[in-house]
Amino acid sequence: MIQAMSDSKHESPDSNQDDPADSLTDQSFDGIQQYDHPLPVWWIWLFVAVLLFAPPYVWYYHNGTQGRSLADHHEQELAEVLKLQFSQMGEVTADRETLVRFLYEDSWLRVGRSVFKSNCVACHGREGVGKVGPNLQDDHYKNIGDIADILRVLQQGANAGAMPAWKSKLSTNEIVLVSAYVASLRGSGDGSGKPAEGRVIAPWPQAPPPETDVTDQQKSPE
Amino acid sequence: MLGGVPEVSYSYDDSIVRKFLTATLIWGFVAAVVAVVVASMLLYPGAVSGTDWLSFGRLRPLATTLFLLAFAGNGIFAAIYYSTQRLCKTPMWSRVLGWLHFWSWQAIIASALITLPQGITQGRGYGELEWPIDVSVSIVWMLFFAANFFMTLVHRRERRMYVSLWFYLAAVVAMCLINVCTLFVFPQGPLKSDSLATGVQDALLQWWYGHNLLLFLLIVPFFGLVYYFVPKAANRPVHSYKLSIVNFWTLILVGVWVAPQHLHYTALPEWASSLGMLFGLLFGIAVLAGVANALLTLRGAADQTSADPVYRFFLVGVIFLGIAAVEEAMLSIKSINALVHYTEWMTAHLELGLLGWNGMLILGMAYWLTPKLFQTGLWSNKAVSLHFWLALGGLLLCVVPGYAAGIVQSGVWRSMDDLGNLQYDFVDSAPFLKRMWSLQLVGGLVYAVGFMVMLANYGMTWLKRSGAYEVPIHYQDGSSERIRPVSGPVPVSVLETAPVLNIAKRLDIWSRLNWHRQWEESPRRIGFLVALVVLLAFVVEVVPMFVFAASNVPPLAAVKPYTPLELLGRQIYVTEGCCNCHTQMVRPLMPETLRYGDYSQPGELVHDQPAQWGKRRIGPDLARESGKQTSFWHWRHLANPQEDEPNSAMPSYRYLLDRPIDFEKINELVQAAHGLGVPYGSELTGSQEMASKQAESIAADIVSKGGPIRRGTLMTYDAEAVALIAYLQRLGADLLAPPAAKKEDAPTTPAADEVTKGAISSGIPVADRLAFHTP
Repeated sequence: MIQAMSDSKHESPDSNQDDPADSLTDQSFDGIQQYDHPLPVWWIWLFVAVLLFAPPYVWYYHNGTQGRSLADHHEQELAEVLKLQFSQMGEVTADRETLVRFLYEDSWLRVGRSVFKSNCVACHGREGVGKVGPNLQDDHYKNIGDIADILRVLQQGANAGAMPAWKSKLSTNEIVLVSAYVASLRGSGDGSGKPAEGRVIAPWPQAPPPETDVTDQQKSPE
Repeated sequence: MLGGVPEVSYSYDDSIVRKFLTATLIWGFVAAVVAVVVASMLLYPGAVSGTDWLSFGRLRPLATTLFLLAFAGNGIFAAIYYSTQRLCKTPMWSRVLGWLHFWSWQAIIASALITLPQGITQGRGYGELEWPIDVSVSIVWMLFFAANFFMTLVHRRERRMYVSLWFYLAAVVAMCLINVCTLFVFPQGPLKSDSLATGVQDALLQWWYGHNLLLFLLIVPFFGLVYYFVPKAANRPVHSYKLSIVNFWTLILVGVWVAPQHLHYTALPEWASSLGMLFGLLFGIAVLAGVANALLTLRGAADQTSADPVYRFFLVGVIFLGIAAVEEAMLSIKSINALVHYTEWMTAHLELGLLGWNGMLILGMAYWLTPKLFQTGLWSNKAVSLHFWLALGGLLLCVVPGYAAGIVQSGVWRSMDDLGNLQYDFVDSAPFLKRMWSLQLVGGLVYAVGFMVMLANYGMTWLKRSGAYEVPIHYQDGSSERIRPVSGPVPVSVLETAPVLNIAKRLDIWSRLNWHRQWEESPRRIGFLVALVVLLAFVVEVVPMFVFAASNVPPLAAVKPYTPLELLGRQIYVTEGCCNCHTQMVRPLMPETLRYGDYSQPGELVHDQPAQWGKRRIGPDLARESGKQTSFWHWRHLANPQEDEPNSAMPSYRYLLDRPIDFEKINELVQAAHGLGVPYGSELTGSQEMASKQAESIAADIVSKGGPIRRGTLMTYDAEAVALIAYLQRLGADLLAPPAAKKEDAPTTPAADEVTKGAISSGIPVADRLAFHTP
């Protein structure tokens, strides 16, 4: 190897900087020489570590066990969010006071909106613009005189079953939330929805004074 | 002269290098200008609206293509033509092929420059160019470039090939194969083709091409450039021959498998995604081997040459590759990828690689080569230094705000309140994005100014050249080094005298990699092995998607082909390059399904020819767009996106409102799609009637909501925008139409059916379906 170094056309590298064990390989290409340094140890271990990591990873995620795929993980996350939502809400009763309280809780209205979207849009249309069922955005109502009637219609149905009873299909919490959402739709239309049906009723009650109950424990989301 | 063997003489042909280098710099400047124009469109979407060929969706792929094929492509050809001759001690095998290669490559770039703004596109990421251009790329690469390169290797006067040549060879061979991925199309006319693959298969093919194009055009051959020009410029030996070998083979063995990592959390089967992730990690480490080798080579020269601008260009280029490699490895991890995918981070990542690594290396090489090619000193060394700082500053101004924008976007998209509700609207990140885009625009301008400085310096140096170039003649004894016996002593293990098994001694000798010297003598062996790896990766990753389609892409009964009008709408979507700003892929992530609706299923996408999953969300995802807005909203939004959302970066598509639907073309589209396997029945004969019926029903809806009956002389139902709206109202409709709705309005025509579906299904998130079952 020493011979190779002396053969080289290039000036020899400044040896005081380099490891004394430095040696050049025996050939130069267009004047380019190459040291014969060993591989960096950190690099070898990094590469080996990933190689060792790969088989257990593949085995864990792809051995067919349920609940480990990305889609399953997503379902679990969903379930947790829902559990969280209902535990925050507690067991509510379907009465007028509760309904009015939730009518003015924006974050809960959004939960009600998802219930609405999955169960009600088929007849009441997107955001309650009306379809087979009446428009929910205007001031006209067919079976509602007071806000509490929404709860009743939802639980028991109306129009001889054209509006089905949801009592057995939705939980009380969901009924309260979706009722609050439906109430909140009033006045949101731009007039492009289904023509009004029924009669004009009095406005909804005002927001109740702030109270110290379960909804205060959570931070305002916005 | 030894042994009476006659001496041979040879000289190098540098005129081809001068050609390619000049083209590199000119195209680089053009690319920078186009990129600046494109970037300014995001900030001033109204400035050029109403002109179809000047819209973001059409010009953005052009900017990428110019940087890839014109700047990086010509740059690496200059490097290859210069260094290959010297490393092989022979001129290129054929001057004529070199000449043909140069001019046909420029013609390809020019045709990209002409066709892409016309909306002539395959609509496939990184493979936008239409089939005649793709065929030309393949032919030029194989016949004019690869053949010449390979024959030069065969006629070399060095026994062994230097490491740069392995990298070049790998790129040359692999690109011949990779290019085929752009040809999975069926020509439907001289400038029009349909993708043979659909949905999941096509999306994977797109990325298989995209990733490997980046690998074999921007990374592998540029390592060849580094291994030649860095030790030359630094005047130092390469740090480690062994590390070069390991760098090369690990990069080749793992790099080509990484494509699926760009499709984490999509409808791509998860096994492929996991494969992409693990190989992505290894890939990052393989790149780091080369980075370490180059940095350690440069380290020794730090004292002597730190003042040399060329040295600085190379140093910064290699450092940026190191950063990009670590980033790449991180992004291959699924959960990290989920944070920043589709955000501006990914664009910044590409910019870092393209401008930081490829750009800096090409510029460094250009400054090193210019005095040698023109055989005179550079016109101004100060200008080189100035350009370095302009390039670095411009680059950082492009990349750093991009990262910031990506982080903010990610936060806006993902933030949920205590109750699991989304906290922000999609558009809430727009004001911050606009600030970052302005910084990036400044960065692009600075980078472009740097190019002007360089072009001036290059031009002045060219003017300074002496009348005729001196062509040095080299002599070598005719026996040539090629037939010299294998160099180096027979290796002896250090364990030779130690009391160990024979196998340990053999292993010790093997690990010194002396056996590789024999491999370096055979271009055929290295080329063959590279081809084998590429084919193996293709067979394992891509082929099963086609062969085992039923398990990888489970069919969904509810998914029906697009109606004739929707098919035209989709064609418009592809032509206008909507996928450059909108994805069509909802990932199984909580904030995403809450925002857009249920995550995308593989089976819903089977009629998507080509797949339009997208890479970047400047605008929201559209996979579940059906019914979210009224058709009238879309109509107004296409005419003036800023009317509803002043911060929107979307340009106006007023011309779609003014252009009449070509009903003849609809029939052609239906026939073509049917020919490629879409199960059409009555559509084949009645497509025009069905299309006009659906257009009328959408127009009626628009008019009933207060829209115009006509615009100028064009009736609303006759406007192309209606076709696009029909398509948008269909996206995601099939899976989300509540079964009850289908019974109610017994549809008379499929067209009416789709409209109904579109109106009633409003992107119901899976969350809500689950809510239904929760007590």
